[in-house]
Amino acid sequence: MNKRFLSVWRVIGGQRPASVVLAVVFILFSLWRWKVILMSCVSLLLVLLVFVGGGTNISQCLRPGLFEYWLAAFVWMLMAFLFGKRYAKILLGSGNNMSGGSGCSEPANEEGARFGHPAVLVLLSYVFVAMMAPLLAPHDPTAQGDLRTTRLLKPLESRVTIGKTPLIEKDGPEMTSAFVPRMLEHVNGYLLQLKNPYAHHDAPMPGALNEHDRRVEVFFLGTDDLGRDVFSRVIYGLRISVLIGTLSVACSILIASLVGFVAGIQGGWIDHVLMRITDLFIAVPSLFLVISLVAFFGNSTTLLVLVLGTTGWMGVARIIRGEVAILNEREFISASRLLGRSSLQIVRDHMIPNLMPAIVVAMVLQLGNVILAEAALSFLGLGIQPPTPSLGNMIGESLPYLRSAWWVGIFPGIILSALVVQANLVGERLQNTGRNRA
Amino acid sequence: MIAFIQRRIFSASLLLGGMLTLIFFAAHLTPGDPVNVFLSPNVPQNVANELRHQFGLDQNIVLQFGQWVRNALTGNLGISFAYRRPVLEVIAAVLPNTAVLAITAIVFELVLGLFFAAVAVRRHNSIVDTMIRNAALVVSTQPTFWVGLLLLAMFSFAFGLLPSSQMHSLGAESFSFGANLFDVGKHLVLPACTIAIPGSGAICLYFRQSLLKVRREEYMTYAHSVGLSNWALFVYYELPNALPPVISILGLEIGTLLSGAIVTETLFAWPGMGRLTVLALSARDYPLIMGCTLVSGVFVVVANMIADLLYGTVDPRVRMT
Amino acid sequence: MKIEVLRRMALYFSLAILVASCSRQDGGQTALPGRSVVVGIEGDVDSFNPLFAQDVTAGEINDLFFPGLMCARFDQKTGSLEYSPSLAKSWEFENGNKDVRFHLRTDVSWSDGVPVTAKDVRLTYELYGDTTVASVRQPSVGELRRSSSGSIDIGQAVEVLNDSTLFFHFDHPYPGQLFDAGLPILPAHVFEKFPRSSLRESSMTRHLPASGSFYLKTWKPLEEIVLGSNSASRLPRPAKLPQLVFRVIPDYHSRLAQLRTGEIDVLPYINAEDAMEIMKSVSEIMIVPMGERFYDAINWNNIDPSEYASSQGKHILPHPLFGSSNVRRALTLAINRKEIVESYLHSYGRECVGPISPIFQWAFNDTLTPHPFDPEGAMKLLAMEGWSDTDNDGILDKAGREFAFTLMVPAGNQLRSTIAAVVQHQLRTIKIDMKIEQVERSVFWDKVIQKKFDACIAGFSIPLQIQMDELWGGDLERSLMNIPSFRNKRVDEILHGAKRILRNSDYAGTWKEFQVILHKEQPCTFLYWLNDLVAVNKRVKGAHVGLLGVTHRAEEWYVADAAASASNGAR
Repeated sequence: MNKRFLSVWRVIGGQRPASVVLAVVFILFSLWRWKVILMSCVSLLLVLLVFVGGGTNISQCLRPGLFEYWLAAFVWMLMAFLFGKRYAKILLGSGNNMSGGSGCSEPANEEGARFGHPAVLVLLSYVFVAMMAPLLAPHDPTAQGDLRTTRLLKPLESRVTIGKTPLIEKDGPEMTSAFVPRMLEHVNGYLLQLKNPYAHHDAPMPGALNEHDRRVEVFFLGTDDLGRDVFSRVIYGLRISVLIGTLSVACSILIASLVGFVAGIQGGWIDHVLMRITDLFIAVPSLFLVISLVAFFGNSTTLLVLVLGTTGWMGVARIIRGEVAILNEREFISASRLLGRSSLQIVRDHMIPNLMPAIVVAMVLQLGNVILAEAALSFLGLGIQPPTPSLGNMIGESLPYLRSAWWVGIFPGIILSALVVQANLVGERLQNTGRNRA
Repeated sequence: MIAFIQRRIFSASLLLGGMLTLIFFAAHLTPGDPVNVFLSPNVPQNVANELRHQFGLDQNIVLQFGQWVRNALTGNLGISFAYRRPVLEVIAAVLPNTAVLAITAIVFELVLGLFFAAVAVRRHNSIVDTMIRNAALVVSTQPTFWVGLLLLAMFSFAFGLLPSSQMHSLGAESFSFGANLFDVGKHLVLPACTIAIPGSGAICLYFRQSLLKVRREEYMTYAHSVGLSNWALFVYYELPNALPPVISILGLEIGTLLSGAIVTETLFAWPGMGRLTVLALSARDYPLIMGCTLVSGVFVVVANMIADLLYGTVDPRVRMT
Repeated sequence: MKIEVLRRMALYFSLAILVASCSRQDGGQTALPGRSVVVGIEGDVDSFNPLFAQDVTAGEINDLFFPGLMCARFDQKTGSLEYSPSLAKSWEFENGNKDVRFHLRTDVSWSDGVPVTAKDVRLTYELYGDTTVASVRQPSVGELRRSSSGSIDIGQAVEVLNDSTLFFHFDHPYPGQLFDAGLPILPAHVFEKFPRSSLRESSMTRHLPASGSFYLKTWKPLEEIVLGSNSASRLPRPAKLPQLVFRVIPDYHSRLAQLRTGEIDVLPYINAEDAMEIMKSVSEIMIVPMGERFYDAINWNNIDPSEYASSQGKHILPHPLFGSSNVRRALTLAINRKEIVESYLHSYGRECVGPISPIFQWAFNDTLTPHPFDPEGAMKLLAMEGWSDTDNDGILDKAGREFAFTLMVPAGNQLRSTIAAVVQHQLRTIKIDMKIEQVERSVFWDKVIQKKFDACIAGFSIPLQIQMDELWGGDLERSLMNIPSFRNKRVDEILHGAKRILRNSDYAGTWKEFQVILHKEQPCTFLYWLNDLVAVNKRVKGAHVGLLGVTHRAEEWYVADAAASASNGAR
């Protein structure tokens, strides 16, 4: 018994520290927020059931506020599965596999090494944290406390508050028919209720002194100017940054690929014209375009994604065009052409696989740039509009409180820097791996 | 070589023309009437109309563009709506400030970046190398406003060491030349560092990579075997071969900086082109917007061209394109 | 070996330079005479020509250069403007108060020696009224007597008898006659040399001779403005300060920092929170309130914007959400203004119930109490109007339309953005979905004038003479600043009558009725009256910061004494 325990321990210790830490954190967080996680998973499963069973009132269940819980639940289950798979294998098989124990942690193939690298793990964990935001954030990011008592609290400061009965009535009449829909209603109601703000007051309210409503709220990273929890806002801000980042990068890559491939393959004057257009876009200061577009179309997330997408594709397009031009000269491409393949097929079958590494690297590096650009725009007031939290606009809003309430600005700044650094580290790592292989 | 230059100049002018057209129409079609900006809305319509007529805003937009181009070719960039002075005068008053900031920032960047890269390469694969590489990576990805904020908080607000804004202290016109220089220098440190620090990280990385690549070349082995000292090796062989990529990046960057580092200038209230451009944009001051675009466009394009040319001089293979 | 040494030396050398430049801020290093005062302002002045200056600071500075016929003072007890002689040594009302005869001083001259005469006054008013000049002050001369064809004819309306006597002929008597006759007077001998249409671009404005206590010594665009004392001035005297400097510091926090270090002496428009912190921590700085001249309100668009736009203003329908005053009252009940005022304005602001400021004590209706914070009451009112959550999605709806709208906020004001967020949150508790849209100022005003919005936050700085016509008149084409597009017959009658009264106090009761109507109808939710604060370093003495501005009567300012000003540097 003892020996088995020790061997398990040694095996686990042989793992890369990053993944162990992550696993431990994951378990702790799951235990802390078990109720929300359980409810979200149940909600997701029940909705799927209802959907499949073609049951009652599917539209009733599809509230916009619930989608993020379902996504978060899905991601949680995925993570639990991944961790479980890895550690279950170890725990179950560890008694016999001492020598193979350390081997388990370092799979021979390069794929595993790549994914096992701390930088990639950390980046992936950022993404997962971002997607699990509703589960992880203890408070709603836009919930303001009583302005007179909850503004600008220091980190780890707590407030004893007495909950006032929420003004909103319970959601709809109870459906008495089937168990599943009723359960679903209940669960959905609980989840949506989490998003409803309470009005808390320090002083006891006459007539509402329900002792169960008394709660101690701890704000891990303090509160901001409007009494909102900084920790929750940072997590949601991370989510927005990751979301906008990936969408913009996808947009950029699309445009860049189009331009790059066409220019590279066709050559001649089309190539020339496209490259001049690319230079034009590089020369025009993006701020002009952003201000004009924002004044025209108003501020919205779609616009932001478009703007960031259209101002970041140039570098990648140049790289793609260069590589395609080089590849075009290679014999196997000429051979394909002789065989009668069309350009489209050549691109699809030969060029893209060869360029994939370069494109992926460019994507990851561009992610860092786009996140920075979005932060700068939000800082200047042109990006994501408050009260939706974004790392950039949180820093911008914290300027007046730099001296007095430093935590409002420092934490988003640290997370932002860390995110961008991770993205760049991963990008560089991929680049090196690619280069070593080639 | 001449053909190369000619080709470059031709594409540069095309580029400039395209950019100006784009900006002109974008600025004019954006909602927001410049007349409204500095007339209070309760002033009667005839005053507003009179103003519009004086600014030539009631003409067809294509005609307006033609007019502007014609004027610009003769050197007249129009009168700024907001400042009521010739655009050239407004920009000329502000350009030297940006130039000073840009040049100082570039110099800082170069010095810091090259220095640390050289140190890292000298002790390649040691702890120092890894530390410098990681530090450069982290530093190069910091957003400018973040760096500026931290510097402000540390040096200006907390310890009061350096002035937090603008270019001159009070009564600067009565300073002697030397005192004036010193005063401007004092104000210059923080904004220049804000721009230089992230930039130096990038330069350090590029230069280091470049140096490593050069080191592996055969001619280096030859030069070493011939008996040249480390210093001579560095100066005569490594540096010239490793510099070109760095120069092309620097070239791009100086172009951008000369068109105004907007965030830094806003944060430090530096009276430069970046702030002027933002002011012009929000005031819908069309002549000033076009003037700023022209000037920054020229800088970016010229800087690109010079960078290309320098690269072409050093590396003849590039001249073919 | 040698290279290492060289490199190290280079590094040390550059570090040394860096350290040397980090010397402590020493105020005594500047060559400024110690008796100057520095004011920190946010943006550069737009024009030194009173014909075109829009900016508040520009207006105050121009008043220092070009005093008018009279000098104004706001009497807190009566709550109205009192006038004392300036360029005019006396004046009489004649012809049933339609005409005013001014007797000018004969001993006043411009800083270039030319005497100030009635001709200056006449040319100035001609320029104000000339449509080719397109001055921003054109409305002020609107009440002068017109020619028979109906157009403004200043030549007739401002009649010069001789160099020191002139008449102002008004169309009819009204309380603001002296206000409109008190505009800054410009030097005719300079202005008559320039063609009127090119006055806007001309650079002559920087070298105008002044008749007031100060003159423009130097102007570095975007950086600083230096005023020097006009030694020949008799209006009323040359300034006691040798120099008054305005430094342009766009960033608020830099201004605050420079206030603390003593680089600037006066900081107008300081935040309430920062003001309180400074009062506690820095003893050399005092905080002076200017008076409640500014209010902010959430304007609900009372009319349907699409209908208005498509019919070019001919067809006006009430707004589907905000057309009913019950709904607007409900919204006011749902917004906790008391909490906002207490949290952000502390003691420097109060809840606002109407557009008439408490400074006008004779007209302010103090019997009106602000609507309380009562979300349950709000929900009841909304239910009464037919709004309920029939589809159970958490947002009220009625006949298929959800109670969802966008609040437009002009960019650049921290307080307004914060309040927008607070209001959004408070409205969510009564199931109203409000989105916030921040727009640039020029786009904001564009949309407001064209009525293309649902709700917006906008505030006004009120003039010292009650002028409600542009803000609450029912004729939307004339009253362009009637943001909520509020129309009410009784209000129109009141506003019409306001132009015909002789004395302010005659209309006190009617203004109070006006406020009662607005309080009941709630065309907009009035948020608060803001008492603007100015931080003044105690070394500056004799400052009259108040309702008339920061630099009102700046000729009285002086610096304590040489010893005090030398110690300025040690901070």
